[in-house]
Amino acid sequence: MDQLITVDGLSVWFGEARVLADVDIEFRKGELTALIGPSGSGKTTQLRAVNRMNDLFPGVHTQGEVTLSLGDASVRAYGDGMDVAVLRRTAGMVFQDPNVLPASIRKNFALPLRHVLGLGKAEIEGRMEATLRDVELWDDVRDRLGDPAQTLSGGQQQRLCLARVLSMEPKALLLDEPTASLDFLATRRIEHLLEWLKERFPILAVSHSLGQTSRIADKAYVLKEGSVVETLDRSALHNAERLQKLAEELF
Amino acid sequence: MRRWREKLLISASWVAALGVLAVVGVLVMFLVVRSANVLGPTLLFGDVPWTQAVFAGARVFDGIWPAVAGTLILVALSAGIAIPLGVAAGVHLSEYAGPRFRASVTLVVDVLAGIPSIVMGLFGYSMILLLRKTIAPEAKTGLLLAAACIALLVLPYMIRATQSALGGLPMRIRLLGPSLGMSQTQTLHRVLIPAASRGILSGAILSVGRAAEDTAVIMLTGAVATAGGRGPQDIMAKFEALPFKIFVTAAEHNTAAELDQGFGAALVLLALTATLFVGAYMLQRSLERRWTS
Ligand SMILES: Nc1ncnc2c1ncn2[C@@H]1O[C@H](COP(=O)(O)OP(=O)(O)O)[C@@H](O)[C@H]1O
Ligand SMILES: [Mg+2]
Repeated sequence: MDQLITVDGLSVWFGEARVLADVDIEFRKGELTALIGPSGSGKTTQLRAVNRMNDLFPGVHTQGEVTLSLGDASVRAYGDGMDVAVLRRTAGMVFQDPNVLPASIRKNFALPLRHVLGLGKAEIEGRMEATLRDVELWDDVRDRLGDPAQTLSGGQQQRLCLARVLSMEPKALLLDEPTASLDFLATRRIEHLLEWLKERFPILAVSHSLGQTSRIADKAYVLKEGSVVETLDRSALHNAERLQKLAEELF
Repeated sequence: MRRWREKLLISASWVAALGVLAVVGVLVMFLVVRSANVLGPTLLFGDVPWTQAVFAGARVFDGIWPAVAGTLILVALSAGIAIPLGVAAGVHLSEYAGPRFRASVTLVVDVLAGIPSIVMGLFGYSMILLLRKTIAPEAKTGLLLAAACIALLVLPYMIRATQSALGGLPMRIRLLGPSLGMSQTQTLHRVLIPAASRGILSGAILSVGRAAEDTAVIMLTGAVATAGGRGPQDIMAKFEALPFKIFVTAAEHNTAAELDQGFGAALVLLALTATLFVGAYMLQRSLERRWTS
């Protein structure tokens, strides 16, 4: 069965301000789907609507539905009886700035694996190593797992965050400008990882750069003032003229 | 011009920092000099062997041990009341309370923080009078009442320290737990409180220091100059405490030797609070290490 997440008629208000207006998007396994748009256009809010992180802010109000078809059945994120903790585990999230716990590298894995998934020590070590290898960080940190995670470089921290999310075995990924604070090389490493991860699960990635989107995305939604104003398929993403025009319109 | 001003600022801050050190140094020196000829085991225990006094409850009439024991137990009791209550209230205000409830409780906490300790002592004393006229004609002032009033005195510090340590955490760390599927309680216990522990503990340290030095509250709620030569035996009974001992000695000493003993008691009180601070600091370090590794 196809693995996909669909967003239908989604609107989000913070207090009186309507930040998203009737958004329809979908993203599926095998394609990297990007969300682009000027700053303040609602990209982060859209991403957080999928795993209901917006609910953590006071005065937020959401309308519409997000449907996750990731296994045998479809579940509705805003349906009755949805356990948000399970939802957030299912759709793992990586933040714009590397969001490590101010604790050791090992603790960054142990805390969620033990307290959320209830895993034992051996299983935690196993998953930590496997996912750190996935993000090509294992060789850099294997001898310093007890060191504070903040001592890693920005790019390493972001890969740690990615590994931490992967260790929870999510079924989809939500990435909020994961390379925004990284240098060129670190950015390329993450992009390279995404090429591989998109074959494992649906990914929705906010990007701050049209260049990056055209380089790695298979599909892109353009947000402007809370509405999707354009959908770009792969051929559109490789059409230099069209991208140039878009860049002038948006930024 | 700019560099010049910068230099001036740097030297001013050096002077200020050294000034604090100098004042503390002079104070300690003064106490040490004044109490030099009484310092030693006899200051605490008179001529009673210390093991007898500490473990066997032997009576000490010419040492300050009963007051030291009284202060230690008073601090432990009041911290035992104020710290859990204050942390719980601070957590509630920061994490669960709605904005209107938070605003009104914060106001009350501020008012409580502004109450002079003598008024808190009077409050405790009037409670006893009230109890005597109503349900408990036998009620009298004592250690438990004093500890409860001291707890009330330091409670606002605990609440505010907890509330602001949690409130000062950046949004990103608040979002982290939920994004990994943690419940609100798990996030609070596993992420937020550990991350705020430094601020919470510094509130606890302040409270303990305040509890150890306060005199006005305890003199109205059960502290006495001599309580049978022993540390507290019963939490409902009168007790000795160092600050009150110092106060009484200063006011009513008959001989120069007695006054020297008063200075000795002051030095011991200082050493006691310093020890408590260092203990709290080490506790915090070890908690932090346990959390981060
Ligand atoms: N927690 C919040 N409370 C109030 N307004 C918010 C909140 N988060 C975002 N907004 C507002 O919603 C709009 C979209 O924000 P965001 O989704 O972060 O945009 P983007 O990620 O595209 O820069 C902005 O105008 C922002 O000010
Ligand atoms: Mg954003």
